[in-house]
Amino acid sequence: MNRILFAVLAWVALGLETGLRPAFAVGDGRISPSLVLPVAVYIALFATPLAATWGCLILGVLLDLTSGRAVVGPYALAYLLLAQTVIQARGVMMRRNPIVLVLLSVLGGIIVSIVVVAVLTFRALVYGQPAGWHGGAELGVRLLGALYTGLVGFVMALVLLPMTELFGFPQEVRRFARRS
Amino acid sequence: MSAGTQKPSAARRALPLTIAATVVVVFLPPGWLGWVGWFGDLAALAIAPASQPAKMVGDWLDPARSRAVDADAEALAERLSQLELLLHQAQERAGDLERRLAEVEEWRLLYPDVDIDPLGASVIGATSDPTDRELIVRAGSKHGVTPNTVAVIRRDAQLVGRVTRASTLTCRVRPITDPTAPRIEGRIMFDAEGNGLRCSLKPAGDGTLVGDVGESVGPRPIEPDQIEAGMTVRLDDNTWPAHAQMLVIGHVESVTDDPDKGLRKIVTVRPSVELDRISELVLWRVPSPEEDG
Repeated sequence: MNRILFAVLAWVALGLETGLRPAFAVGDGRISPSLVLPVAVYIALFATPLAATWGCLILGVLLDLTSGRAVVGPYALAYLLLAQTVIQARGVMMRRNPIVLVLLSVLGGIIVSIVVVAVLTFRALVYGQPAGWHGGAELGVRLLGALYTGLVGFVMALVLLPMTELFGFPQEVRRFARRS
Repeated sequence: MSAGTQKPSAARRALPLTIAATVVVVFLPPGWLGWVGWFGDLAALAIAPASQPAKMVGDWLDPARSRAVDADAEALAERLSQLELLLHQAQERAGDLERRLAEVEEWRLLYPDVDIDPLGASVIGATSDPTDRELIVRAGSKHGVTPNTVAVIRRDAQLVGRVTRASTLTCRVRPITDPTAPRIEGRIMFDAEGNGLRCSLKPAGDGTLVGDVGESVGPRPIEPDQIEAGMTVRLDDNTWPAHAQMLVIGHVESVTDDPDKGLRKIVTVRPSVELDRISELVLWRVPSPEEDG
C-alpha cells in the first residue's frame, strides 16, 4: 500500500469529517455520517491484512484524538474490529462493486457504534458519568448515523474505487479459481 | 506494510504490542490521560488546513440560520442588542452596587472591575465525535486564551459557550447547547428594569435549552403564565464570570406545563443562531494583573 497516498487520504478524510460533518447533520443535528469510516472500509477491502489492520488502527487513533474526548482507544479498538470483520468478509465479496462498500460501511458503522458506546459507557460507570451521557440514546443516534454513512459511502466509493491502482494494493486472488 | 522482508515483520511484531497498549490506555483513569489533549491539539492543528476549507464549503452549502432579514435590519438589530446588553449590564451592576454598598471592600474582592479584551477568531472545525461537538477555534494560549474564557457572537451579544481547553495555537469551545454542556441559569427578561423570572436550562440536544421556570426576580412580581414566545433570556448564573452575566442565551420558543409538577412551567429557549454552526466568534479574554501593571 502506498503509505503517502494513505496519509493524504486520511488527512483529507479527517478534514472533511471535522469540517463538513455538521453541514450533513440531520434531525436534531446529531445524526451525521462519518466520512472516515468508508475510507477505513476501503483500505480494509483492498490492502493486505497487516496493512489494513495498521491503517484502520491509525484512523481510529486519529478519530480518538480529534473526538474531543480525552481518551484514546474507543475508536481505535472499534476500527480494529471493523478491519478484522471486513478482512474476513471480503473474500466472498465483489470488492470493486460500490454497493459492497456501502453495505460494509453500514455494517462497520454499526460495529463502531456498539464498541465506542460500550467502551464509553464502561468508562462512565467506572470513572463517573459525564454530563449528558445516556448510553441508549448515544447508541440510537450513532446507529442512525451508521445508516447515513452508507449513503455517503456510495458517493465516496465512486471516488475511491478508481484510485485503487494508485494505492498499489496487491492483486485480488480469487478464492474459487476456474479448474483447468 | 508493502515490499521488503524486514519492515513487514517489524510491523507484524509491533501490531500486538500496539493493540495491547491501546487496550490498556482505553481503560486508564481520566487523571492519567492528560497527555491525550496535547496530541489531540496537535492533530487538530495538523488537519486544520483541510478542515477549514471543508467547513467553509459546508457553511456555504448549509449556512447557519439567522433571524436577520437584511443588512440594514441586521445592523440595527446589532446596535439594539449592544445597547440592550449595555443597559442590562449597567442595571445589573447598579443593583449589585446598591445591595453591597455597605460592604465595599468585600465587593471589590467578589466582583472586581474586570477589563475585557475581545479577540475575534475563526472556527476551523468541530470535534469528530458525533455526539460531543466542541468547536475548534484558531486562537490559543499564545493569544491569551485560557480555559473558561467566554465566547460570544459579536452581532447580538449571543453567548456561545466557554473554552474547555486551550493549546498554544487553538482552543476548544463547548457551546451551551452541546448535549454534554452543564446546566445553565438564566433570566427571562420582562422589561428593561431587569424584572424577570429565573430559569434553569439544560441542553435538549436539538440546539435548544429546556428547563423549569423558577422564582421572580426584581421588585415587580411576575407569574410564569406571563411568559410569551420571543422573550429574551439572559445569563444569570454565578458559576459564570461576572463579565458574562446578562449575555443573551436565546429567546423563548415555547412554554408548556410540567407534566410531573402540576402548575410549574417548562420553557424552551433557542439561541439566535445555531451555535455549533458558527464560523467565527469573539473570545472575551481577561488581561492578567501582570499585563495591567
